[in-house]
Amino acid sequence: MIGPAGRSPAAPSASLPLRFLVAAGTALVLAALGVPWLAGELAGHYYHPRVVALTHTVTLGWITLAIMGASYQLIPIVLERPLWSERLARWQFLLLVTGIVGMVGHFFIAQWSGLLWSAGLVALAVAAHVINAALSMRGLRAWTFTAWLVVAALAGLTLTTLFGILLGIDRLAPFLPGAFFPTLHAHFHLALLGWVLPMVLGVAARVYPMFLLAPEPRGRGARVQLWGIALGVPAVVAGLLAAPWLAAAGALAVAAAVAAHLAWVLGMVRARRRPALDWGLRFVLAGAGFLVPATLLGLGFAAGLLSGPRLGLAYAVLALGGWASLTIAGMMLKIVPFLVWYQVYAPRAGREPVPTLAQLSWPAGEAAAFALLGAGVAGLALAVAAGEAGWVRAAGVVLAAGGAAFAATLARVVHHATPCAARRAAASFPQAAAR
Amino acid sequence: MSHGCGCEGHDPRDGREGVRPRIARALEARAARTVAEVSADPRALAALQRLGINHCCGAHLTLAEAAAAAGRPLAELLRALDEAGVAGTRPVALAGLDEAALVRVDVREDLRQGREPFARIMAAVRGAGPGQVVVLRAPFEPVPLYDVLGRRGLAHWSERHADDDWSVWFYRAGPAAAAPAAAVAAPAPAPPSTVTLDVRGLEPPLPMVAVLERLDTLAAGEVLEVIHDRRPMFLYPQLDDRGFAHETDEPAPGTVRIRIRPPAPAP
Repeated sequence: MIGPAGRSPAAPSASLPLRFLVAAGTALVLAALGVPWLAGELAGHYYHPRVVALTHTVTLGWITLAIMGASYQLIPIVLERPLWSERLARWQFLLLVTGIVGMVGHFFIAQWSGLLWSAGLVALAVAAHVINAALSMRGLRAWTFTAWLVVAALAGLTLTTLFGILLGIDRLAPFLPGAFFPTLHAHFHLALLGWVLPMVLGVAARVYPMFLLAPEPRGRGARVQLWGIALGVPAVVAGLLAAPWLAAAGALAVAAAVAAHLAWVLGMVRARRRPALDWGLRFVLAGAGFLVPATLLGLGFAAGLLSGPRLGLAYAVLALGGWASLTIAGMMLKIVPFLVWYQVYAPRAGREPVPTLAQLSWPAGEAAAFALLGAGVAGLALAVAAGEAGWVRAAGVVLAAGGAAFAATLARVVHHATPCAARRAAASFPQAAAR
Repeated sequence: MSHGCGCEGHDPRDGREGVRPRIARALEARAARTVAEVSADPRALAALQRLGINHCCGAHLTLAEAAAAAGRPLAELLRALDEAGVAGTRPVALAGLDEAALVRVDVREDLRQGREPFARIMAAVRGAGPGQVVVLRAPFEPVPLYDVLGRRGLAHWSERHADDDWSVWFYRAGPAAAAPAAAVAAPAPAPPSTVTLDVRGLEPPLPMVAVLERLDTLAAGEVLEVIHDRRPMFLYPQLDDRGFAHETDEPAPGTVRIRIRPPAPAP
């Protein structure tokens, strides 16, 4: 119960998640610009220092920063718990951004000792995030589906980071047993399936119904997702490191979790009371659509039916660029306007006319970003699978345009937080609202 | 056609609590209307006669009493009135209004385009004069809006033209009602010490906006009881900043109740 006396302990600051999300959006734009620039490298083998730099710009700079930033807004909402320490989160942001810039830079120039120092900063930032999130969850009233998956994701993030540090040390002084590429694949899948997947599945179960105006999903699908991830992800990672048959079994369990998630999403879309889908929701649903080819490719690799660096890169593009990126972009189109609205207009709500979230957003920009990013990712997956540098460059240009449209859309929203823009907007809302 | 409830067009899959009480309230409101009120519409007479209800001597009876006196179930009477096309559905307060008394807001295109129409609706409600009625045209029955505007003292009456085409009339049912209805409007009840605002099913941040707007009109001594589907963690700081005391509990799984009290007046 929130007591009647004194201030609520759950006062979240909008500026904290916003700084993570703005930095993440910047990383997306840089990554999208990097695709046409690195078209030649992307048409070849994925283990090229510049391609690895690009991959970490996406995984750490875009996806991880966005998830962490969104967590600082969503933890209070989906777990109904206040954030343990905003100050720690602010320090974490500085450490993380510095570490990511260092890591990407050192990957790019293939300088491993500098890379390790940067990775150490990232590891410190990850530790701060995990501690902050874990302490925020102390005294949780109910261990919901979302809460379990958030815990799983934090465990996955911790293990991914440790694994990455070990890989970095191994580059300087080889000590890890086994072949290099299976170890690298295990690191990649730990990040994708152990960190990103449970976080997205957990948050989706709570946030999608809010925006689709649909009932919260319940039933057997929850168990399939929880057990599919709990059993499947360790099996995939262990299988890649030691026993291929275990990877196939794990991949099947993860695919079952993905199928249950998609069934939930489909059910929510069908049961929604919201008649029209806005662009944020279209992003999210398109992202879910990319899960299908990504999962099929993953199953193909695990079963030994598919192989090779080109298909491997196409698989990564579909999973990271298609599913994870479009889903996160969609959520950002919902979260960022809310944060700006909350910071600028919530104190005025009820006292004077305030805009709605829709009035803060820019549907034309969102539509352009949706079309360009969606087409760009699909085109890039085909281009890297074919290994054609020209196609990669063309898809990269489309992606870069999509990234620019997305950034412009967010910039227009964030612009409301500037004092003069807020004053101008407030003056125009009564007319806008009565239109 | 339905009378002011969430009973038609409601998606039963959402399993929310609160719909049954709403239906019950709407039925009670219909049943409390008198035979005289209903029989003002000539289309009702045949239905009343067919069921053996005397619209002359029994004009003072409520529909519930008239049905009981005629030995007919109330539901049969209401259904017969519905089928007659009047059914006590259009409240007397809305009878005989000319176009100048109507503030029409059509949000169908907004919703088709994915635009949020809440601000337009609230602007129209704020801009409506004391004798005016807001007529909302929407592609679905906007059930959550009933509570939001109900807290502003607006009653509602809905018409379903098609599955995806609804008109909802929001009007003042008290003494400040439209002039043609003044003669039949019941006096407004005394303000309760607790007013309830159900914001379930609204997209963020509309629940927060609805609550903060309602706080503005909260009288001293009144308690605003907000029914939500989650703890509104972003609302609490706003309440704190405005000096409102609040407490939260969970009366049923998936239902959160926040009781908000205005700040004590300065000595």
